[in-house]
Amino acid sequence: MQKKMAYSFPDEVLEHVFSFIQSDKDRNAVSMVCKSWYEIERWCRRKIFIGNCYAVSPRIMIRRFPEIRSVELKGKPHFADFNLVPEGWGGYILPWIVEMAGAYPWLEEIRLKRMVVTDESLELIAKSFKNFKVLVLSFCEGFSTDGLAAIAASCKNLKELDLRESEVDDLSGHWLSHFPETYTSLVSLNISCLGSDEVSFSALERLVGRCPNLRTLQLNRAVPLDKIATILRRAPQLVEFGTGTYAAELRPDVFSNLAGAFSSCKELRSLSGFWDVVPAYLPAIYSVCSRISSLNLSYATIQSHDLIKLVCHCPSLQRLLVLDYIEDSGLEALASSCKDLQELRVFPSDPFGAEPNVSLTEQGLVAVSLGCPKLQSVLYFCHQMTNSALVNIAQNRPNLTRFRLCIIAPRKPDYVTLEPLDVGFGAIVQHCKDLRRLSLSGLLTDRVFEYIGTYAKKLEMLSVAFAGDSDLGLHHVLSGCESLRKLEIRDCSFGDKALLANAAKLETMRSLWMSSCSVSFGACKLLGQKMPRLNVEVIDERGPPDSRPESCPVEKLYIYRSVAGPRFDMPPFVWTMDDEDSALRLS
Amino acid sequence: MSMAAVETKKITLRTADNHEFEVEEAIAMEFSTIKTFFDENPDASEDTIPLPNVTSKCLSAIIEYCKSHLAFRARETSSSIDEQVRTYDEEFVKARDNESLKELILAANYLNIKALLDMLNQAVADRIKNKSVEYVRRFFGLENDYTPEEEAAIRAENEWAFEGVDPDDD
Repeated sequence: MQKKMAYSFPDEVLEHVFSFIQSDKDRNAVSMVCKSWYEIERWCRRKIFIGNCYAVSPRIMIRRFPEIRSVELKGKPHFADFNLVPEGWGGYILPWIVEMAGAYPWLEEIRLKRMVVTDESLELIAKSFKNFKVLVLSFCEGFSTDGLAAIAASCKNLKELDLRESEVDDLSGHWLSHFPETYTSLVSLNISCLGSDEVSFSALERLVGRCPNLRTLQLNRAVPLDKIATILRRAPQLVEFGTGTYAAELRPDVFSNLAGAFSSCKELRSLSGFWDVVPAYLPAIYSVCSRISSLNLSYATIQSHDLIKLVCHCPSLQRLLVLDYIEDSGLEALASSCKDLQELRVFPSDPFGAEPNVSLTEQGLVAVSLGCPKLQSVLYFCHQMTNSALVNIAQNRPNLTRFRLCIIAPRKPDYVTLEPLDVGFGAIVQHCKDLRRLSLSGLLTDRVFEYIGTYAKKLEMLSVAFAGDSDLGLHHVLSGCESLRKLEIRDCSFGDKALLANAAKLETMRSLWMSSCSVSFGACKLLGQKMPRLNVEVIDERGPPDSRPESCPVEKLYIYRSVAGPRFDMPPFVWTMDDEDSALRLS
Repeated sequence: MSMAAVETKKITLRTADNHEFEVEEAIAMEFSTIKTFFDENPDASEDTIPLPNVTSKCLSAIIEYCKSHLAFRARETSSSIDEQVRTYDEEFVKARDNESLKELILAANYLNIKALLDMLNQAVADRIKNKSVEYVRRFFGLENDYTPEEEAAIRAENEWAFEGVDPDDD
């Protein structure tokens, strides 16, 4: 009988096998196999994603993973986008940069979302990482063009600088001139968020001209239309292009120059920008439209008939971001012309107006759900909805994975039957079995949460506003949604009972946000005591919570699991509920 | 002897289970371990080379692989050849059970055949992706040497701190 050979894989063979395993989930599984595998794996992990910067500390990360080349971090909760997180709440990147500057001299990539980045941080990045290649700052704030100048001047191997949606103090367009004349490695540049009217156009032109690998270029509004042709002629290899202002006096020579420049861009697949559009200039892009897969018109204030003409030229469109000027008629045209559409986002042109200013209703979304078989991801702002439309959408498109409906006025019922929209959203979760992301709106009772808890087994992130009647609603979600990672709630009458009854669930989720709900200070303290591994943070700008009765609801509550314990960088209006009896930790 | 035009040089290899394999020199040179040995000992080519770490089953498969890849490389490069190579590699791996795959990796590592090792290691990685920790342990015949407390602590750190990339979810 031949004995089975003992397979003792040498370390270098294991390391080689691990190099083919990139997903964090698989890497984590590998680290748990046994102690020697943990050791081998931690030395060869190169990429880290940290979904909540306060769930871990830089020290813990560095101690475990000494050879990281790429870090991605997220800071503030998502509701910060709706101004619900007060200024100064946190999410500072500087402490991370300071630690990484010492530990990771070969760091190449930093990607941040909703973090506070200062010029000091940017200067430290520029100084510390000799092989720095990628900087993505998404929804970040706190820095100026001076910090960008430091990056431009020092990072000789920079490939990607992407400032998408960040708030930048645009002090001077001259930061672009800080890229040395010898610098040629740019692949991707997104400066669309820069606000000032100044742009150093000649520096931009020279930069674009000397970077042959440039694939993505997204300009800011300050770049005039008559400069687009110059830029495109220097970079006909572009795959993604974002214009600046798309307005100018209509002149045939400018038009034909522009059209000619676009037509020479054979690789172009994605267009964005389009501020202040003068519709007569839109046909200049028609020559590339047949290959366009992504179109971001969310700043384009053009009317439905112009949008229809444009959309009909784009049969390969997979992703469309557009204002509600597109109206139902435009969405019907989209549904007929763009059979490959996967993602649709319709934004409100007048979110604060009393009456709808456009003819965009539930019908437009129904049409797209019917006509576009590959539609997976929807974000739709509108003024009215019916259960029957939602049921239609659910039946037409069971392959939806992301569905965010934003009926602008809170608590609006089905406008035909005046019923709550429970049944409609119930149909969505029942039919769309792979739904990972859901945002609710309209008039909703506890019933909708019962449907969600029963059917939405793959749901990972749920956003709720002005909905539900009682704690039962919250209880359904926390006890039923097995895959839930992030839950954000505002202005709902959910209170202590469901939260305390489902405390253990909170350790299986990344975070819970509740603002303008009915969770008492006493319940927050109790939760903090019961669950020492959760950070239970009370945000209250009215002053210390213990200056009010314990039964008083807190303004805002942010609960998240952490291996780093409570944080110490809290502003005066944030309190962490400690696990010591009745202790209240002040910042 | 007199009628043969050019006789290709053959090398004899003896496996762990005492089988002898006669292979063409070109194939034996694909094994970097053997190539290095001959580069340093040019007179040794008449001797039988012992391979105490390789079974006959393994060596036979490895010889097949190297023969096929040599033949592919001799042809002109084209996308159809690339396609054929890919198909060959897929079939080569698909046929092996987990035990054979592991044996082949150890043999390819010992013989230092880079392309084969790359391919096999990728195949093993693919077989353990998306699997539970227990499955991976069984696959490699490894014992869990963590205490329950240690395991819980690492699991928490893995899932809470280093959880994995968000799909773009706003």
